[in-house]
Amino acid sequence: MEGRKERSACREFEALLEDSLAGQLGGAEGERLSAHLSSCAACRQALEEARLGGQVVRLLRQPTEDLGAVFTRRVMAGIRDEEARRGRTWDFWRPIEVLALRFSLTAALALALLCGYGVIHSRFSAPAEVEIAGQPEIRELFPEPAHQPITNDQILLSIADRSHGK
Amino acid sequence: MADVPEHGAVQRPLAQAPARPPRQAEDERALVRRAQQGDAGAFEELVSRHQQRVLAVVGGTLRRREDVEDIAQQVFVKAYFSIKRFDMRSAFSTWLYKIAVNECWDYLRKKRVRPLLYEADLSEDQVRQLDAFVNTGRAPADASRRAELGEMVEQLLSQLSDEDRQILLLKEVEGFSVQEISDMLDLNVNTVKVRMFRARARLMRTYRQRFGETRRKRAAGKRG
Repeated sequence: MEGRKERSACREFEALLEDSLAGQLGGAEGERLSAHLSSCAACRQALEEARLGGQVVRLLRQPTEDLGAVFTRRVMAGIRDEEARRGRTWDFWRPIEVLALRFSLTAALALALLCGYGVIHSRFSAPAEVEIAGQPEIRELFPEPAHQPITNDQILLSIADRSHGK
Repeated sequence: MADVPEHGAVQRPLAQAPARPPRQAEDERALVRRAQQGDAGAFEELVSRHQQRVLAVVGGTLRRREDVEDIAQQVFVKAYFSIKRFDMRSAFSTWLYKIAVNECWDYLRKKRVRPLLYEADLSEDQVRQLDAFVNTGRAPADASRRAELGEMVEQLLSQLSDEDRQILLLKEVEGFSVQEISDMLDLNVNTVKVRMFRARARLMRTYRQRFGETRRKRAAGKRG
């Protein structure tokens, strides 16, 4: 055993070797593995090592202690505790949540009333004349353009006005 | 002398559940539906049916007896509060075992420990015992000797990766099938087989290395 040279199994046969260990290999696959094992020392050795490895691990098997109804009751008590804990958390937040709900409802109502008032007021009051502050100054700065001369006489008159203006 | 059962012809541990007949599966689905509607009695029945297997999954991952029951209880509490989200596309047991596996890894992450970690080397006597067991396949009938051997095996197992050790323990100790393990861990069936096969080989390699080291030390001690 000591000083044994470790060789790995052929990769493509590893899953089949595992099946063979579990006694789940038969038919064509079983024959294919048998043929391979007869010619591959590495796989034979790996199979033996795996068999021993399984045997060693199975040493840890112990009859499972059946906790039965005791454990079931413990689990259900744990669930009830968790429900109560979650309930307590909800109880802490509940007044704040109710307050927030009331506040948001009041705000929504106030907004609706303001909107209603605005709509009613705009319907029943006359449209206001739009007055531009400082209208005379604006007219001075931006005089309305003179009427475009249409007839020949008007053209001549406008030229005369301009030259007179100079 | 108690024989350790061979692979393939093993006696099933208590946790191993036989394949369920369709009627029982339908009955379970009905229980799940009732539990989803808030029937605590139905959930209690589900707990009672699955507790051994959940304890086995948790035990196979944590290997710490003192934590196993607490974590298994947390698994069921978590399942109770999220059962409405279970869509019945898989078996209830598969869903439950996945919760158990995740809960175990969460616990280990929080605690920042490996399931079991041994640093001490094997003593000469321990190696002799283990060697005798490997060569003959016979475990000592004496419970304390057997427990000591078990500790050595745990020591060897601690050299494997967490996931490989978990796969090996779920299969060989807790009696889960390859299909169940692949469902639980979301791994391909072939991947589970290959990893299991390699993990066993690695275990034996570790054993031989340690065995060799102890033999060498022993020889050196005699010479000295």
